[in-house]
Amino acid sequence: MLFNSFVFALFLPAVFALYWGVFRKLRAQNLLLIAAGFLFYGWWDWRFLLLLLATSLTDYFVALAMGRSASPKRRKLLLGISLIGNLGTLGIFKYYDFFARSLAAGLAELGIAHDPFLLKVILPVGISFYTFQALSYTIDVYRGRIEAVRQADTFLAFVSFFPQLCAGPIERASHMLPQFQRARTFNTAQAVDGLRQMLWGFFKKIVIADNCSRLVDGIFNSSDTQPGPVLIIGAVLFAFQIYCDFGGYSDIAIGTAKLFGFDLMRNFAFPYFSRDIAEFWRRWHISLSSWFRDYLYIPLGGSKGGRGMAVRNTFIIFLVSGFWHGANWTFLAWGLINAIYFLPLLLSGRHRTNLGIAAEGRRWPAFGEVLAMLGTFGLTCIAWVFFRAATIGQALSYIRDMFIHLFDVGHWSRTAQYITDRATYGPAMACIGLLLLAEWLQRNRQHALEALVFTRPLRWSLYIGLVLLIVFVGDHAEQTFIYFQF
Amino acid sequence: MSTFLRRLALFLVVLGLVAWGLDRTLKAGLRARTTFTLGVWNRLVDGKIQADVLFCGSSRALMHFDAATIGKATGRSCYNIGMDGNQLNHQLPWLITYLKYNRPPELIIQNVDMISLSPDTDVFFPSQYPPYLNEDPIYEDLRNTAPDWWKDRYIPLYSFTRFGYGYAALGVKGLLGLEDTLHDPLHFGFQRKDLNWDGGFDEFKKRFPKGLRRFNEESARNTLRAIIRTAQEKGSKVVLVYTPELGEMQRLTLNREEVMDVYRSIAAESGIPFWDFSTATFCEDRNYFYNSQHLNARGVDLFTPMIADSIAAYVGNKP
Repeated sequence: MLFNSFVFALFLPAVFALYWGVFRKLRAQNLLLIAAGFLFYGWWDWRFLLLLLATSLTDYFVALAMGRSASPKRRKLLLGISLIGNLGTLGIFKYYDFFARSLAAGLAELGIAHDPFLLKVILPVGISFYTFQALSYTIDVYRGRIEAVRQADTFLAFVSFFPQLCAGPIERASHMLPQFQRARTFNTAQAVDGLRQMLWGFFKKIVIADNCSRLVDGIFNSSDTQPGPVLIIGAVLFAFQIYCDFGGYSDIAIGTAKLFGFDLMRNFAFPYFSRDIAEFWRRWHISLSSWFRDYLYIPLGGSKGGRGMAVRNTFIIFLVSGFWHGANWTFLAWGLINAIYFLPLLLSGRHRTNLGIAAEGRRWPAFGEVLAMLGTFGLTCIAWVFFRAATIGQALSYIRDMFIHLFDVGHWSRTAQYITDRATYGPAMACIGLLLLAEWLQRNRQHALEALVFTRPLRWSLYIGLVLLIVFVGDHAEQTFIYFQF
Repeated sequence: MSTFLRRLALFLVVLGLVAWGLDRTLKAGLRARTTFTLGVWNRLVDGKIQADVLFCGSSRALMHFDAATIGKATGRSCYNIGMDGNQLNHQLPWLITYLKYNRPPELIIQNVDMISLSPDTDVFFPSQYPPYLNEDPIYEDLRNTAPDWWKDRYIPLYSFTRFGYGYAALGVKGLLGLEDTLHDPLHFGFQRKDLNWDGGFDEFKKRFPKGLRRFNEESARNTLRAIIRTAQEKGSKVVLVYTPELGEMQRLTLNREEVMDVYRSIAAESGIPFWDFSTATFCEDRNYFYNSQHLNARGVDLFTPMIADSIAAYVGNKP
């Protein structure tokens, strides 16, 4: 089920009413959340539920056994089972065909014909998200940071919590499980803030991401014939598309969770106001970055082994992170480019320079900050080309063509014609401007509509204005979220 | 909780009122339009057509019956409500609505063609419908085709989420009287296509070198009977007309005679004439068509006196 679908508009109030009105006891509420999560997830394909259930139950029983065992050897074995179960599932569904095809292509290069056996299975929605979330649970139990959950329904409710089931934020068991274990009381301020955050998320997704999506598809699908400036516009629009698609999803997920009394971790912190790449990665997909930090970077030794080890581990993290996104060399290249961007900051020890918000204590940024933000944004746009392109070859020729005719007047006039031929550009650009303005002014908040200081009539006018923008300017084709494929 | 629900309910009421008001306003703007397709439908539901001769059918009616010229030739007021891309099942509710708001025409020319006997399972050009969903025959027909049309009727602004801000802009322009009257392609409902042969038919021939069969469905035959009956019950005369069609295309239709026999037999059982203009000699000349189904402006200029003469002969010339 998509957040931006008509059926979700019916589903959410129904679950909300049952949750607070009928199922008031903790256990009943958790059972309702499981049912809602399974309905939400099974709406795509009920067979996906079997996989979700199988991995969840494996982790539940493994963690229980781990909790009962004092033997380090046995605990390690059990953790191994969980890792193999989760990563094996991920490997089969997400990566097997890719490796089989790559192997066949590699052998073909050597003149050896090989017809690979392909599984050709459909990738279950959000598999990378819930397997990572479940893994965090078993690893934390193994490390003794949390205790294994005894009640299966509590654990299932945690794994299948519908707001963040398909695309995160990838929660930690240590943060979420206690919320499923204690009685929840309705908090008006939290619920109202949740609705505001959802509204902002819908604006980002339906108005900006989905409009940009059509423009970006048009450019990337014909990138070999487009003038350079159009390609630059395509890269910039994709940067906003992916931010508003995934950031919008996260806002809706976090806002929805608030309606049910849950506090999900923050996933985006206005990443395009970052002044360097290190800051960007502290603000972009925070739940995944911190997951890799906690469960991969630090276990690998982090930066404790000196600069060399820090560089090695940074590259590992970025490459794994790239590959986590999808079984394609383009994602690996995207991870590699970001690692290369990160390297100078790491080597110069400046990767933790910009820890606060830009222009702290001031309304507008200084000139130097603007340049730093634009530079960082430009670098991310180039990296996004690899993320969006179908192949590395397309990405490389796209980037070359972006700049090769930059000073050719003919290319600029073709660009002007390209834009004027497409009526969507004007509204899309205006809404991106609105997004940047609102998020800049609220950059010290959790989201753009949090704790607005206006009077109620003004606030409500703003909310109604956003709803009307969604109605009139939004793309209502119920486009799926980009990160669902991961 | 009750504070939250009260506040949410109040907000939703305010939002609902704003949405409802905007919906009404924009649809009033769409209803005020005088040009393009909405202009035709607005005249129809406002009872401003009141034609002596009404041309009905699909795009072949829309682009073949030059109502103004035929009107001059016959001395009768003529109007064309041909619908691009819409089959008989979508044409019937518009005829019923026409007859509700306008006096019954003396003569209704119902165009039929080779694909008329296959009912539409979708709605072509859906944005022409939202301002008229309170017309029950139109609404029921749409619901039969796609049940989701209830959202357009009952959820304020829903249609504008489907058709975008350009659609809202049409409403605003309609309200403010800012219409592009110079470029309205419709004149008395007729759309003149000043085009040359587009070559699409050659691709079609490659796809179907041995020809193809056309549908002949009972439900469509019954709809055609219902159209005739509806008109006759109001006292209008009806003529079934098959307008010119490219000869090469005719020969590609394997069951053409079967379909034509259906029209002949329905006309006979209803006691009405069936005029077949597809035998005209210019049907063998691509210069008079822009595709296999549609005459271009040159073709219409040849066809117009033919249909005008037939009408005059059937109902008599008015001075």
